[in-house]
Amino acid sequence: MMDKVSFTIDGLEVVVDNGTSVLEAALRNNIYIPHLCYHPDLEARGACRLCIVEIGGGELVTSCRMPVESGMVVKTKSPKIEKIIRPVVELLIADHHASCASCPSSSHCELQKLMAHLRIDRRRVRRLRLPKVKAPLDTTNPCFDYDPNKCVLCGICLQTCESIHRVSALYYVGRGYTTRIAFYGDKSRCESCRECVTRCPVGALISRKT
Amino acid sequence: MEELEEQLLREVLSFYRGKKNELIPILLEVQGNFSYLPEDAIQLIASFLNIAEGEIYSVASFYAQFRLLPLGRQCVTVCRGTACHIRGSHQILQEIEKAVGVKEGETSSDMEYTLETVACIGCCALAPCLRINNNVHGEMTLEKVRGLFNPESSSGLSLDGRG
Amino acid sequence: MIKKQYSLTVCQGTGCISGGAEDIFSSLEDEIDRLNLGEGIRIKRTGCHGFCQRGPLVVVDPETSSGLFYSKVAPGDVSDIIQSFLPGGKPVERLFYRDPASSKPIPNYHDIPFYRKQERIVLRNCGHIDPEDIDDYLATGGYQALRKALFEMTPEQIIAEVKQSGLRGLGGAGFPAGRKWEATFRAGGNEKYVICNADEGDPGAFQDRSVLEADPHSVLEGMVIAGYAVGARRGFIYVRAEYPLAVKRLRIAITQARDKGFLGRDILGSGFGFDIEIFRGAGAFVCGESTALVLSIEGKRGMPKPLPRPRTAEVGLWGKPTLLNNVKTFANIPLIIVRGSEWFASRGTETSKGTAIFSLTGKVANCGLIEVPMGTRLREIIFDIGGGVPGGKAFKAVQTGGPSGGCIPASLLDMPVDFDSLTAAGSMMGSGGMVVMDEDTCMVDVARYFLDFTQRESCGQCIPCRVGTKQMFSVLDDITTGQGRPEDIDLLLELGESVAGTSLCALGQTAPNPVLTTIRYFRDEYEAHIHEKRCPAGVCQALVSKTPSLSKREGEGDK
Repeated sequence: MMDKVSFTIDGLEVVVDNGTSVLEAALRNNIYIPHLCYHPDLEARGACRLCIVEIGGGELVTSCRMPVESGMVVKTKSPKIEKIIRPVVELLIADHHASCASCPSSSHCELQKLMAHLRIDRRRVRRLRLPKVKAPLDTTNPCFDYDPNKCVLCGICLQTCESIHRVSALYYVGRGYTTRIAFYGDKSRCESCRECVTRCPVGALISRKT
Repeated sequence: MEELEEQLLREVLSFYRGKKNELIPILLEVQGNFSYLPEDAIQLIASFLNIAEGEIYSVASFYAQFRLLPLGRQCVTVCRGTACHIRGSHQILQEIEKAVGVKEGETSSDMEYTLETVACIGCCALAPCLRINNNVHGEMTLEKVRGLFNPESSSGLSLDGRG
Repeated sequence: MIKKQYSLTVCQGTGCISGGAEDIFSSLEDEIDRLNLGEGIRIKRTGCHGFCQRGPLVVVDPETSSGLFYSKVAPGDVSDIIQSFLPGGKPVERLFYRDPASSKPIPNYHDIPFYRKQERIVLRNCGHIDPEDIDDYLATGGYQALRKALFEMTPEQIIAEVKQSGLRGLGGAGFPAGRKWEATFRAGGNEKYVICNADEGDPGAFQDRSVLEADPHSVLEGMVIAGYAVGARRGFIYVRAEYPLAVKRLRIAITQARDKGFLGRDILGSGFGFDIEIFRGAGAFVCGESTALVLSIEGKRGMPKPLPRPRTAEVGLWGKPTLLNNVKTFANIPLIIVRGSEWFASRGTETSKGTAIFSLTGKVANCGLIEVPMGTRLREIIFDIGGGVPGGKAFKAVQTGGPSGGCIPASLLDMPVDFDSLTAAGSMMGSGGMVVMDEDTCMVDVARYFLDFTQRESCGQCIPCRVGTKQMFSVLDDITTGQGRPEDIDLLLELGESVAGTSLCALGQTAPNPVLTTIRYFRDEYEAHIHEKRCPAGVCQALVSKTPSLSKREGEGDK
């Protein structure tokens, strides 16, 4: 088996280790592909669907789970991608109670980053229906608060807790649109390492100053 | 949890081996006995299966069957399947809400009625239909709803549900 | 006292039971005992006949050409039915089925158009045998396919037979069954599983329930044969918790099959061992996705796994190769084994072999469960078998494929019904729901209804499905309550394309279909709601005061 594979991404010939995902290969070569649920330390979940790229004859795949194959030709931008990805981001923004000015994550927020990358037009977002009710802040964790209105349900916090402590103190509850991240248990379960807070791509997990 | 209830729960659990994949069957059976998943029961199941309580809530909240609140003596389940919808299940639901005085998803304060909806009962040829506890009533009309839930009519729930 | 032998069958499907069929059965039994007619009249319970709408059903001598069909039987009819067998007795005419158009009584079971035009293969035993008595199944040749498979065929031969039959999965996607079997067979390891998907999540389909209630052994037999062919020793039936009667009859059937040696460590002395467990689903439409269903059996949230990933046939339950097929797919297997793939493939179309089963419901005269050869025209199903739209109303559309499917307009009524034609029309076969809609059905309301369903059933893990179906529902809700905006149709089309193109699993990928097809074929109804604040069908309550009453002429009553 080869150790290295070479492929083409946006016209650029790139050589990476065998087994590297298309998304990782792109990021390492300074090609940004929108993403929210990917974190370099965690297994790729393919849940946010934003990292879709075009390969070969036009097949659309999530780049985070697609391993690079020798000779593969990848396009990260195309009218086809643009047409289906832009509405997803607009949907997310319409649903995200964004008040970037007062958000502690502002300036290091992945959502802001991908909005800038895609040059999201706020007027297009206004065509969408905004949620009518704001969910209350969850303050049950001893060291951080959870704002469900800002959460994009990327799952990074859960995966982080699981990978560090083997058993997660964070869980998905509910289903569909009402899915939330919930904290169960007491101080003995959460070791207050705040790794989940650090890795949250948006401002959904907020460290509490004590 | 009362002693009798705990005894019942332990008896239910005695038929299982304590493996994680038994969670959903256990929850269904516990709910079958208690009409809902009591908090104490969830604690006991968690220790029996050696998993966190949070995991049980996480799984239970994913599936439409599970309830965390007790049911009324009469659980009225209105089908909102496609055939029922286009034959007017919405009006049937509204009429029942009027008749029993609770909204979808609620239980009356005297614990007599719980009103729920379900994705499909599977009696589409008899649409619109509903279920009261375990009995299916098909081809519902507003008049039949009034007949079923009229407190003056003693025959009320013994109606055979036919048109 | 009675010269002839009569056989009396009483349907005990969920539909007929809801009409009091259990009481009718016991009253008939009592009456036979009271008059001491047990010698001349044999009475038995059967599963669903399919014609639930006319229930409770009692059929006299169903196996003979002169069999009588009694519909809407009530306890008060019992004595007259029994009297009819006595010398000089006459059939009970008031219980005859009447043709909806001519009101002409049709006494004979086999003359009723609802049955006459069907070809029942999967439903072969439904309504004919007692589902709680394995001997009744054996009397129809039951478990002969299993004997043949175990003693005369190799696993490779069985898989070849299934492949040659052209059988496609009848749970929704229509994937060739034989290829799944082969992939599971080829996958390594000696621990494999067979799962029967009986979760029937389509809110408007009940054929899986009916088959399980009426003929559970045909499914068990299909599963054991599958187990032998792919090399599995354990099977699961994943059945909706909403189907208590199906669960009860499956339990009885499994116990009886074990007692007779059709399940267990050493089946019929062949050395092959296989057993089946029932797993009750807990209510999640998304568990129709194979990876979600597998997670559910493992005791987890049923959140589908994204592609690229190995197929369930290779990495399934507990990471082992797993064959997952639908109830109807398994029920076909015994016949394919006994009669051969050629016999099976002789019906249907070039790419869709065998029969299709539909739950024919909605605004149609004869509601019930039907089975027709693939390729039968929609018109034949709805008008010949279904008896057309009742009450002199005009046919508007037929919805197939449930929340993943679409609405097909009158202009396509001559379309043949098979996997590919339905997909080409923007709909799909799905799990076999077929809901007829008439002039009083609002197509925007129907689209809103389905998006309400999918947004409730979305698992929530991927953004387009979680937020997109919710948004599409909100827009449709606004349109049906008079708050639609001029740009909403374009918005729905754009969102629909995005949700379909980006969602993680088939639930989200197909969720926009009901919206996209209703815009494609009934755009004028959307426009009336948005621009004129009018619901042409008179369904949307908020717009109803602005809707012309049915007595007014078309185009006259706006505003």
